[in-house]
Amino acid sequence: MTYPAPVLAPPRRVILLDADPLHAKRVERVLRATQYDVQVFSGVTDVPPDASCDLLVMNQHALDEPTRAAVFARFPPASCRRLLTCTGKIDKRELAQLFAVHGLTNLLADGDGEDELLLVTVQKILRRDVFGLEKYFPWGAESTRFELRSSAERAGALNVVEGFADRLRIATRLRDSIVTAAEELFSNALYDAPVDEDGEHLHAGKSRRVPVELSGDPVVVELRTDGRRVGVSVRDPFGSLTVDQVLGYLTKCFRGGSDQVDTKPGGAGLGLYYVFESISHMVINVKPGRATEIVALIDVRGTYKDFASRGKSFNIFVDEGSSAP
Amino acid sequence: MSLHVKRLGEVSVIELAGSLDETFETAAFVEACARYTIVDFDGVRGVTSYGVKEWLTAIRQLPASTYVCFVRARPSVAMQFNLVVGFGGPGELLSLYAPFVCPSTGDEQHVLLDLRKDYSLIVSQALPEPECHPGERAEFDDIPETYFSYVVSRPPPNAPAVVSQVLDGASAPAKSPFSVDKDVFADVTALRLRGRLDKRARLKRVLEGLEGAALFLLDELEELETEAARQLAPLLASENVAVAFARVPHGLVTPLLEALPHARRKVLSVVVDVNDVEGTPCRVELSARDLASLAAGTVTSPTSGLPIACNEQALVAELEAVVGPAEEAFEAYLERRGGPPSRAESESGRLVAATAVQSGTRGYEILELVGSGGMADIFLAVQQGQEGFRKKVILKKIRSTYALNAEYLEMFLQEARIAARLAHPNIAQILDLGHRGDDYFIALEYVEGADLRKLLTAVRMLGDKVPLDIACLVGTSLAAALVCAHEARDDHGRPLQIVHRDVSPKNILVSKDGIAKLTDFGVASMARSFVVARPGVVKGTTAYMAPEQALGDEPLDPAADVFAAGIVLYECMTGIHPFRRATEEGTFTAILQHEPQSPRELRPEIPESLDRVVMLALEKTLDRRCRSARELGRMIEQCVGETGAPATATRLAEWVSGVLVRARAAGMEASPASRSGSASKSNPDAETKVLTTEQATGTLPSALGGDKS
Repeated sequence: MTYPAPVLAPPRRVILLDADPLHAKRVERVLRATQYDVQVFSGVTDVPPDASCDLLVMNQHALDEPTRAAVFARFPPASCRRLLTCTGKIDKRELAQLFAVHGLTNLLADGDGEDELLLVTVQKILRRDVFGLEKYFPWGAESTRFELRSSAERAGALNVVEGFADRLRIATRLRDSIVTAAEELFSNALYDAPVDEDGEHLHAGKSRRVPVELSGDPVVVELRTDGRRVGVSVRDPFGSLTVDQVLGYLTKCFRGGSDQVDTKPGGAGLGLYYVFESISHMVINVKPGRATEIVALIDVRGTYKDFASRGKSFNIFVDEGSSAP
Repeated sequence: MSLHVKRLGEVSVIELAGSLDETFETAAFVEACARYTIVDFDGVRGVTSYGVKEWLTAIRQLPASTYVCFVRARPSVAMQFNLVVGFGGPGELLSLYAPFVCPSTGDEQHVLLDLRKDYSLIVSQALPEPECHPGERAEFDDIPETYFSYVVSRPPPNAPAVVSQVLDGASAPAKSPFSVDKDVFADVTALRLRGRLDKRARLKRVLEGLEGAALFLLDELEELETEAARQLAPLLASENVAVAFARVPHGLVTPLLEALPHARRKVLSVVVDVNDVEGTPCRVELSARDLASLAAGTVTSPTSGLPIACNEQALVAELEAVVGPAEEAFEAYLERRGGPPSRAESESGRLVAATAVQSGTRGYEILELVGSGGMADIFLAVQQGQEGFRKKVILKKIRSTYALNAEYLEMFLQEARIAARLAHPNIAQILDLGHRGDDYFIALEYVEGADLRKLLTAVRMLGDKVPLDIACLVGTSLAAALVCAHEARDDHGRPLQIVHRDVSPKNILVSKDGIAKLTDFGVASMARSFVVARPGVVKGTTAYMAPEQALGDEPLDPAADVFAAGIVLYECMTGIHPFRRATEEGTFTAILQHEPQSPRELRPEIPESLDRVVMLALEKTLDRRCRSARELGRMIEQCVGETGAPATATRLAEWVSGVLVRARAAGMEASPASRSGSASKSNPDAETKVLTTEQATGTLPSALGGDKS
């Protein structure tokens, strides 16, 4: 009897840099599940000078700041993708530095039971198959989908979201957080995202009191839960959001300076920050000029304090490929 | 987001409710701020990033001299102080809710922390943990360092004494308990809401059974809780009632409108605090008409008589978006009736009655004022005679201002002349006509029982139906009364052609002895009279007018009364008015154009013959309608056998008594067992409508214009 040859993943190289042996073992196990080539080092000095990789996975809390800086310098964004895992919370000042100085786009709160998120994130980074809320939920988690075409539909859409969250009988503040995130995402998709053929923003400078309507494809909203997380996905047909914009907005909000709130016409520039603060995991998938999907995942297990005690995850995936999302 | 402002001396208390989002009105907020401003966040349930932008715009506009503080911030707002730089501006956060959760059950509770007292507890992380179950403490449901980061980054609050006094309730006047006064005029039921309307108020009891046009007067409403306001919406959802709000205190406009569905957001006037041209503060009621003439300086201060300063552009713009024109029924009510007596007027009303008792009025001892209409006051009185003779009567006294008007006085006297000619057991008798100086009065038979409208309302509220034999007895009694009127003759035997013109349940009294009596000939007409109804002048109660009456045809045929009697019979049998719609215009249109639903379709046990009689009485054209009350009575009598044994006066008396007892037992506020007969709380005169068709056509183009074309 002959057996078909196994379909192997493309030959990708992953370097794991983790000074915590126990944590490193767990992460290595997950990384090897991808069938990629995984090399594990406990310190940056152990990495051979000629080593290269497609993905660098680094444990934030196992490395001090100078060491991290050295690693980021050794593996700049142009040479490989970087994923920072963290076993605890990161304060805003540190987040601002990671985003603004190091251009970090992948941050994963790596608590117990988060292995599948690590797997999904690594695969999304390396496979470039980034769109879809379903990637974050197991089979069986049903979804609710609807479309938004105008600002007048926001209130009704929020009622749907609130009703969806209400049915889970979760803590009131967690439910409110889901609604807050959804409201900001809806406003972002209807006011900030729309651009014309030349990439000029159509509604970003308008007061949110001014009603707007999309003339082309609608915004698609999907809600999904497995009882552990609630996911809200809002996908617009514009793909106008850039990595620099996202990191810029979040950084200025984290820094809390006098420029935190935009004074120019249009939105406050706080929307993504509010989403980030309201949820556990924020994922931005962009296919430039084609679509942007922002996924808000919130861990609804336990109390609000449980939620607030956990670290936050953040990813921006840019699909530079040619296929439609 | 709603913004409710209360002024307490130098302190402005701004209550925000809803979601702090794009609906937050920056200008209104800034305008509402005073030297000392307390912003109450208790009602704020959510915050959006754009709302924060607007909020910051507002807070940055406050003059440096303004002291502003924030109280009762819920977690969604409390977090804004931590997340957004400058959210509190120059203000002080004085109190916020701390979230707690029961470790066993997950039940949540919020504890209000007063930072004037609890600041040190927060800083030292010694928060008091509330008990969630006996022996078990709830846990703080957030990370204290995060949740209180803004609080601990600031010095302890130091609120000025004047602000603390307000917050501690030292200077806040005690709120009156909630109460409602009702008043009925034509199709309008006016309800003056008083005191503090909170969620404990039993609004359902007050509003149940409303129909026609309901006018809410809010000038004496001291506080309106959002939750209580929301109770209004489902209670006013019935399409059978047109709703409007008048004299709404400025601070209550937003919470009121937010709680109501768009279709019910009808505000006729708002009471605002403004200044006259010399800067003297005053309180005025502004309708749409007033707003239009404010700039012309024709709206004056009720205290100084000086024009109101018209530099309040923001206020005018805000009110213009809220206040709309009044429909004719409401306008007529407000102009001619004013409303149930205000608290002050009630006091004065009692004084008037007391004075009358002391002075006496030509053999009548006035016991109490029981009704007050646009034209006359109604008193329960005792007729005094020789040898200790005493008899309860109703005294109807025309107001002196109307007595000076020859036409009104003649109408008043005509009622007496007409009723005096009608001696019939089914007509409430007139006993006397007299005057003392310019004070003309009529003494009327006192009928102890209830008017049919109140009985029908009680039956409906009890979820019951009027037995068909009772309905038939009321129908035959009414027909008999109308026969007496329609066929009355003068001393020379010539027909008087009296047409009642205002047959409706409110003018049918059912005595405790089981006799139905027609009353109130206040707008009746007769051929040989000094007052001849003019073509184009519509008199009667809108919902009970025959088509030709609504169109102002004169002279009016007695068949108009037959039509109204048909409506009364229809209502008795089905509990539903065949033509009443949400608006007066809709009712007119229905009367003129719409065929009523067959009573049998609403209540299948109604015999076909009785169904035919009612439908015959409701024919829109005279040549098809049952033309005479005599014929109507005869046809009803023929149907009686099909509804079981004919009802007797004893049975009617027992039924009335049963309805009243059950209504009282059910705690119906507007107890049908109130003084009956002409001593009804509502003035029979006042419940009629006299208007010209020019006025009518102004609001009824589709009904009248369509018919004419």
